[in-house]
Amino acid sequence: MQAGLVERAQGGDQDAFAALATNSVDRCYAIAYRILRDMDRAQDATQQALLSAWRDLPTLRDPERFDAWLYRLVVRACYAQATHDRRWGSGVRLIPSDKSTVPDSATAIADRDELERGFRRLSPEQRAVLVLHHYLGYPLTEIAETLGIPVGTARPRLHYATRQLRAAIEADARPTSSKERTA
Amino acid sequence: MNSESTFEDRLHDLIEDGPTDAPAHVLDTVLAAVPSIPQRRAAWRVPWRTLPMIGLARTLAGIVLAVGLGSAALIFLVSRTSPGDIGGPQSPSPAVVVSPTPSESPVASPSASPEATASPTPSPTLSPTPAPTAVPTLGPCAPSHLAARITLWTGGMGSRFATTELTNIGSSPCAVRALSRPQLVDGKGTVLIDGAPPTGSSFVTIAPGATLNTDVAASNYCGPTPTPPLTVAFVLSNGGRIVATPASTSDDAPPCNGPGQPAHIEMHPWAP
Repeated sequence: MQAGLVERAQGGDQDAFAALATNSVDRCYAIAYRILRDMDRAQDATQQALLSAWRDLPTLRDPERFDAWLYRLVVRACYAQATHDRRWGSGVRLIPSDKSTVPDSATAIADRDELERGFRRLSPEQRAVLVLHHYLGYPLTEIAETLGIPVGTARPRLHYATRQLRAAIEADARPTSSKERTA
Repeated sequence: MNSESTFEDRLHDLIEDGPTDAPAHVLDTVLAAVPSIPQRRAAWRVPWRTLPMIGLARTLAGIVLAVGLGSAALIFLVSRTSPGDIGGPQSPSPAVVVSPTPSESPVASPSASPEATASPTPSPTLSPTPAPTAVPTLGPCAPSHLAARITLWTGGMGSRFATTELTNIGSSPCAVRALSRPQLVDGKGTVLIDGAPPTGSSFVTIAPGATLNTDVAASNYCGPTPTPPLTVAFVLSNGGRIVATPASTSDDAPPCNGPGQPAHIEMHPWAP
């Protein structure tokens, strides 16, 4: 059914594209938000991806692959948003965590913040591979296909993203530990 | 092992959490913009890849394509009386460059590849697929053979993005540099933001009637209020200039985010 809509939209049928966009917009937004961690930028990226999809739809060779192709456009739009972030500022300010001052009942929240900060330190490419893996549940082959990279590139990217996230969290925790030792 | 699974679980939870429904205006904005955005044509999707064709039809299609491209190449060679516009110093090479591997077959083979042989003898071959190349395989496009227009303005992150389309309105295929010097221009022709000249660039070929697309990003305009409509221009390497037809009369200039800081404009490479 979706393939039929895609073929009609490829022929310029705006109603068919509206149906496709309606079906896909939530998922696109969810992916974009999880990569960018910002609602406004996720909205911009989603709009950009859907407009690119309309414009480039006639170049899609296999209508059955519409979803993967659209997610690739979303990821690219996220990269573009992140690039503008870096170029024109408004980066995330990292505040060192100090779990020693956090009550036990709030430890989970502090851990969550820590993880969030670590995630934001990752590159957009690393975030994308983690989101495709953990949110969409894609295996490596599908991640590679969606991102347009070889499986041999996707595998270490997923590995290093996870490792770097863990390292970032440990780096955050280190000053706290040394403070505790000297206290 | 346990801490590993805990970490993975926490990461999974972090990514899982978050909004799952897009605000309604996201879709509304997209659907409102769609009618004003032309679809990119699947210009060089060769028919024998998408339609079942009998052998004779393939052969005829191949011959017709070969004759057509050969004629186009001949017309281009004859009509090219003035040096082209782009590509820096004018090259003494002919408009159509002889392929280093001329066709081996005296008859065009339509099933071999989307590239067609231009003549039955070893001769210039034209690729119908526009693709970036290190050096132009065709003559540079004259500005008079190119038309640009903005198809969409979008904004975000303090920037304005102009999605721009470049069309070869001439009768011959030609090549443009993938990057030019972009400018933001107001309705009086005043240059509001002048981009930097590109340093080195590949070439993209463009067939007659075909289009290339780019996005131009402009930011931090702190000058006087410009006269609408805003548009973008592209300064070619030898000084030629193409001004894009504006999309509308109501587009805003990029906001002034940092007075005293330089304005910025840049473009993505032209791409089919």
